[in-house]
Amino acid sequence: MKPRIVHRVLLIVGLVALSVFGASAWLADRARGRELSALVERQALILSDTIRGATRSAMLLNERDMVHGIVGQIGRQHGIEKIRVYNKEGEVIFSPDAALVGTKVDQRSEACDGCHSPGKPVPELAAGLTRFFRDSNGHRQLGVITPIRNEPACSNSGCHAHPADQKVLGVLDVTLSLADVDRAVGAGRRSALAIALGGVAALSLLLAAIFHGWVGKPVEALLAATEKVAAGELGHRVKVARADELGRLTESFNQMTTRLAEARHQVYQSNKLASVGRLAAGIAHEINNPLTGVLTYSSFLLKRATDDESRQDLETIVHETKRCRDIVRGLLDFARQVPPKKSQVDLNAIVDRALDIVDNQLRVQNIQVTKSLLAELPAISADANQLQQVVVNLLVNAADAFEGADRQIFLATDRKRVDGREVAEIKVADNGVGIPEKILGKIFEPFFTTKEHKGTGLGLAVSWGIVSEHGGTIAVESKVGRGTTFTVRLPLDSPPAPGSES
Amino acid sequence: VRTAYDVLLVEDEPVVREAATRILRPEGLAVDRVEDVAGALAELRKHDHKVVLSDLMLPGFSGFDLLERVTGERPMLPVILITGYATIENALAAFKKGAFDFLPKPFDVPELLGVVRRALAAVERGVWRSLPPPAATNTGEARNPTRRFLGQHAWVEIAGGVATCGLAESWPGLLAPIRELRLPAPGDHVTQGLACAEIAAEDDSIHRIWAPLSGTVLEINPDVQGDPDLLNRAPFSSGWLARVAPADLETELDALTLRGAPAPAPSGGEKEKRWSS
Repeated sequence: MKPRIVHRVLLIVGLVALSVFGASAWLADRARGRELSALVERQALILSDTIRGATRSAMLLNERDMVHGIVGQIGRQHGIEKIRVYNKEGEVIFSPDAALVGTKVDQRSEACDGCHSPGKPVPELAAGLTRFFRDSNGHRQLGVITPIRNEPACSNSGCHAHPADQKVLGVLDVTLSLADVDRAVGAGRRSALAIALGGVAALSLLLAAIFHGWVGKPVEALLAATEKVAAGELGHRVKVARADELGRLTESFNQMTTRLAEARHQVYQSNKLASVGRLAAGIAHEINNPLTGVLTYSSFLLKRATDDESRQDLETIVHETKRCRDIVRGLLDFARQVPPKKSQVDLNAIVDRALDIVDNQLRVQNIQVTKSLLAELPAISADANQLQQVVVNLLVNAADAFEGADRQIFLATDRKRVDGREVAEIKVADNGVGIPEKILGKIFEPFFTTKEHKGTGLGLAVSWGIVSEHGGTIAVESKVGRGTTFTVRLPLDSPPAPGSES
Repeated sequence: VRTAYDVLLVEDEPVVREAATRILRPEGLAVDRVEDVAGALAELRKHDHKVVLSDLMLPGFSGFDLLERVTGERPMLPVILITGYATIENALAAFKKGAFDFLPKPFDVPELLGVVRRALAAVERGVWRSLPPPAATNTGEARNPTRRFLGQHAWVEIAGGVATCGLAESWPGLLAPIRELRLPAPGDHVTQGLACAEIAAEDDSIHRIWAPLSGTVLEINPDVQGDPDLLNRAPFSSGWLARVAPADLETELDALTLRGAPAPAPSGGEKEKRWSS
C-alpha cells in the first residue's frame, strides 16, 4: 500500500491524543489513589481509637472476658483482617482468635519494625502508626498500631496495677483488608482507560474523516489530474469548488494545464506548418514537370480540336490541370511564409482597410457589418500586410458562414489584460451556421477546409502562422446555429523603441 | 554547316522537352534541343539561335550559369528561364541577371507561345540587349534617373511614399493587339517576384507580369484599362499600370536596378515611337 497523508495524520493524532488522555488519566488515578488511601487511613485510625475507647473501661475493671467479647465482635466485621492487643513483652493478650492469645511476637517481626527497627530508638508514638503492606496472597492491607498508654487510672486501679513510671502498656494492632478499596480503584481505572481509549479513537476517526474530506479528496483529485496530464491528457480539468489554498492550488493547476496545452498546440502547429512547408516545396518541384506535360499536351490538343465534344473534354482537362497548378502555387505561397516585417502600425486602420477590401463581396451577399473599434488603441509593432491578410481571411470566412437571411458580422478591436500581459484584440464574430465541435479543433490545420472546391484549406493555417509569428494567439469559439467568433490577440508589451520603425 | 534555329530548348525533363517542341514546331519554329548547359554551349557555338528557352534546374551547371554565359557573349540573344521551382528569389535573380522573362512550370500553350513570340519579336526588331542600356545611350523616359527596374520587365518610380509601376523594355511593341488585361483590384496585395497581372493577346497568347515590389494596390491606371494598347505605345509615361503602397521598400530595392546618372530629360513622346512599328 502506498503511504498516505491521512494515515500519517491518523497516527499522529492518535499518538498525541493517547499521550494527553493517558497522562491526564494517570495523574487523576494517582490523585484518586492518594485520596482514597488517606481516607482509609483516617477511617482505620478512627476504628482503632474506637476499639481502644470501647475496651478502655473493661480494661480498667480488668474484665478480660468483656474485652475479649468486644475484640471478637469487632474482629468479625467485614474488612477487618485481625485485631490484636500486645503487652509490653510482645505477648498477645487479646485477639478474636483465642489460639493466638499467649503467643509472642518477635520485635523483629514485620508488624513491629515500624517502631522497633534494630539500632534505632523506639519513637514516641503520639497517635497511631499506619502502614500499607501486602499479605501472602498479594492483597493490600492496612495495619494500624496504636499505643495503649499508661494513665493514672491504670496505675491507681487496684486490680493489676501497672507501675506509674511505665509509659506504654502495650499496643493495639488492627489490620484492615483493602481488597474492596482496590477493587473499586481498579474498576475506576478500567472505566477511565476505556473512556480515554474510546475518546482517542473517536477523535482520531473524526479528524481523519474531516481531513479526508477537506484535504485528502481534493489532493487525490489533483494527484489523479497530474497523472492524467503527465500521460498527455491535457484537456483534463479539476473542478474548483473552494476559495481556500487548495481551491487556489487547483485553479492554478488548471491554468497551468491550459497554458501547457496551448504551448504544446503552438509547438505542434508550428512544427506541422514547417513540415508542410518543406513538403510543399518538395512536391511543387516534383509535380510541376508532369503537370507541364499534362497542361501543354492538353492545351495543345485543345487548340487543334475540331469537334465540340473533344473541345469540351479537353477544356475540362486544361481547367482541372490549372486548378492543380493553383493548388501547388498555394502550397508554395504557404511554404513561403516570411517572417513579419514589423513597423508601428495602427490596428484600427488595418481592420478598416481589410473591411474595404471585402466590402463589395459583403454588400453583394447582403451582410451587415457592425464595427466597434477602440479609438485609443496604441500602435503595435507588426507587419501591416500580414495582419491585413489575417483580417481579410477571417472576414471572408465569416461571409461564407451564412445560410439564412439574418447576416451580421461584428468587428471589434479592444485592449485587454490577459494572463498578466497587455494585448490588443481583434474580434471577428458572425451569427452564421457555426462550426461543429468535432471539427473545431482542426480548422487551423493546413488543408482542412469545409468549402469543398472553393478553398485550399490554407487560409486559417496561414493566419495562424502569421499571428504566432507576431507572438500572438488566435482562438475560435463557435456554436452550431448561433455563430462563430475568432479572437486574435497581439502583445502590446514591448513598448515601441524610438527609431525602431526601420 | 551552320543551321539557323529559332529556339534553343535546354531541358532535362523529357516530357517537358517533348511538349514544348510539339507546341513550337507547328508555329513554324525550328527547335534545337539539348539536355544540359554543356550541350547548350556546344550548340550555340555550332549554330545560330534567335531565342534560348532554358530550364533553371539542370544537371551540372544551372540555367543561371547558361544565362551568365549568354549575356556575356551573346548580349542580343534573349534567354527565357523556365522552372518548376518558381520561387521569388529565382524570379528576381533571373531578371537581375538579364533574362528576357521567367516562365514557371506548369505552363500551357498560350503562355509558352506568348513569351517565345515576344522574345522573337524583340530579336527581329533588334531592340533586345541582355543588360540594360547604359545611361548615355539610354533614351526616352526609360532614362528617368529616379526609376528603378526589375530587369527589363517592369519599372517602379517612388514619390511621396507611393510607387508607380509600369512595364519596361521587354514589352512595348512586342505584343500582338491586347484582347484582355487582367489587373489586380485596389486593395489587393501584390508580392515582389510573383505574378500580379496577366495580358491576353489577340494571337491567343498569354503574358504574365511579375510584380516589381510588394505592397497594396492603391490605384489602377484607368486609361490603360480603357485602352490597353497604351502599354504598347507609351509604357514609360501615360501607360503606367498601377500605384502601390510599398510594404517593405528598404529590402526590396535590392532586387531593383537604378540605371546610370541623371541627364537632361528630353520629352519622350517622340522617342517612344522607336518601340512601336
